Amino acid sequence: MQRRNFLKSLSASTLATLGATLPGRAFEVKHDLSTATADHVIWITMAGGMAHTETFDPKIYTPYEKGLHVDKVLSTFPSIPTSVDDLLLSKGLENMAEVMHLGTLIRSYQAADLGNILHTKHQYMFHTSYQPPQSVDVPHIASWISHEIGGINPVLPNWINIGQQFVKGEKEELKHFHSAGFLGAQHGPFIIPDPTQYLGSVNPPAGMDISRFEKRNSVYREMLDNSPFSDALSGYQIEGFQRSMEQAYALVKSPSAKAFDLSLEDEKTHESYGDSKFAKGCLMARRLVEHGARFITVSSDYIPFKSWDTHKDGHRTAAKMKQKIDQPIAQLIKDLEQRGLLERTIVFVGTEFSRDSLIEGRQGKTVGDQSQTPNTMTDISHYGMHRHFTDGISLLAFGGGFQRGLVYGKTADHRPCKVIENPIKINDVHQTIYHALGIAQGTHGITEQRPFYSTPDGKGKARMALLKPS
Amino acid sequence: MGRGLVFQVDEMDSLPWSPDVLDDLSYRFVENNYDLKWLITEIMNSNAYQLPSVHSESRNQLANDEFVFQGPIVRRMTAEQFADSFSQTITPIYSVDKQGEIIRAGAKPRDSFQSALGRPTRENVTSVRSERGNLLEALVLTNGTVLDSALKQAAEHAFKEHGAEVEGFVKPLFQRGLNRQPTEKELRLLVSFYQKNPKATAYHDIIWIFINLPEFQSIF
Repeated sequence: MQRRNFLKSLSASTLATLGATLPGRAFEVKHDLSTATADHVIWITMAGGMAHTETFDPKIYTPYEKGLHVDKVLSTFPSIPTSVDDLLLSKGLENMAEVMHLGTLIRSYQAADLGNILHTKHQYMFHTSYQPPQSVDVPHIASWISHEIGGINPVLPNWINIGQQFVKGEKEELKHFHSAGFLGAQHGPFIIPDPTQYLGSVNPPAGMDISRFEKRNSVYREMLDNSPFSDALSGYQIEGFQRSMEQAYALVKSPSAKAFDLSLEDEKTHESYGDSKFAKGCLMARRLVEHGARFITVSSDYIPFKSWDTHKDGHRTAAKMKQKIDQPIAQLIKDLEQRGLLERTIVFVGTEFSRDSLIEGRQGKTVGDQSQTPNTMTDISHYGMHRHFTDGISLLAFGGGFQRGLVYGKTADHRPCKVIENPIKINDVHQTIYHALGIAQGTHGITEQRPFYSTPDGKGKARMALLKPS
Repeated sequence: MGRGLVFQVDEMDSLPWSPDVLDDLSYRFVENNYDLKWLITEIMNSNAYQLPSVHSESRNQLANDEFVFQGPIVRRMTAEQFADSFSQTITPIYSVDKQGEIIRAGAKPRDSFQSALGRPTRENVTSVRSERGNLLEALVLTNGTVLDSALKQAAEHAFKEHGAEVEGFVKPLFQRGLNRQPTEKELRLLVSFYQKNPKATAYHDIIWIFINLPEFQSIF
């Protein structure tokens, strides 16, 4: 049997298993997929630093007036009630308020103390759980998952990354954590910078109809079968290359390619999500989960000094950002719940750190100030959270085994609004997600002849209180 | 050669597969006043370098302490090598300079095309690139816009120049890109493309098939 035919005869699931060959281990790692409570993850990032007191952890509201001093301001919005008794959110999150009973709100996340604040450093740590810089090329959480348990629908890439452009500012650094690291590029991100421009990603090239595409591929295969050098060229690199070419062809031809096609959703659905690129990303994430994608990242798109990265005019920008994210995330949750998919899908909403109007860094360890706004406000653009705060951050986790209607942890009601109950750090956050997926705590790979763990030194622990009791 | 005397380059304390060769080369490298050009010439003129290439079943086989050198290892081109080979044999992917020389991919920033084919970021210290091929890379080769628009351009040019004389295009292409003539069967397969669809798009598909042949993708 020719290798080509052998490959063709493999079932899709065998191919997926082959793609996920395990590397060496220092000791046996046993995943328990039978107790897993989740299959899919939608990992949504509020890139740029979302202030907890302006969103999911509101404090006393102080309206703007001329001459107001920044230390008087904890929240620049009033609070609103939610579907959970006694839980208040910041005004502007009315849609999220309706779905809070479906998930867990973590109010006690603490980012690490990494010295002078740089978004890219904190984002790197948020996505990989490792503090930069590292001598090892560290995998993203999605890559670990792809590597350990593979995909669900073998035709779809295991990690699909939606909505982050790589063109403006800090672009090299930005790409840094969008990487499978030493686990190998097959576990890396399939990048869709703009979900409204999905057509190019999984369709034949522009101007090529499907019959020409099929014909091109069939002649290509014949050429491979008739190559006078096929034996000399049969090393592992070439085999991998050919397998990937077949997978790409399979994806473009497969019904799963329709998962990327937002035009198949009716107008009402489009309206229910909203018009922004972020909204379309959430809609695409829902379609991808329906088609069996494993891990989808949706970014609010990090551009320095834009969006959540409010160095000035924080109040008005936060109002705009809430308007941008409130409807699509809430609709995504509702859609998944209504389709019965939320039970097995984690929708995780995170941010690299929070913001404060006064403190840069954290109390007792403040670092170089990066805000130019005056302490006594003379203009509404001085009103808002303009400094990076790392000591109290809100995260959200819906579905996939996370508790429903739980508020976990607490921050102080007065400045500094830092964590005073149930602190949780990034290692434990990652391990909780791994646990829900059935991935063992001691997961590691071997690189540079030593074990390298999914969280630093394998020390993180799943926070069981966040998950439904089994 | 696919596998250094010492493997990997970031583990220089590993045993070389031939300590004698390493010693000899080091000694004469110093004697020749650390002349890198001399070193490269010396290696490329060696019998070892000119042995027929061999393929390897796995990366582990290369990393094995018992490794015995039998010839250069067949390997796939890197992103930059592939882009440059394409530019040289088909049409420039990036622009040309004032002298009409192609601008090498390595001199251009890492774009989506090169990153999908595995060019790492500068921030990551990487001595080994992923070699196994992956879906994203294959998709970029299958329908990526950077490559597709270059192909389109090349196809239109070839169609204008050769029209129905497809052989007159394919034969020099094989010579340029693979250093051999096509077999009769290969020629027939590619020419039949045009006969069924006598348009520039036939050239487009012929070139696409050609650059995705393992023989074109490999160094051996």
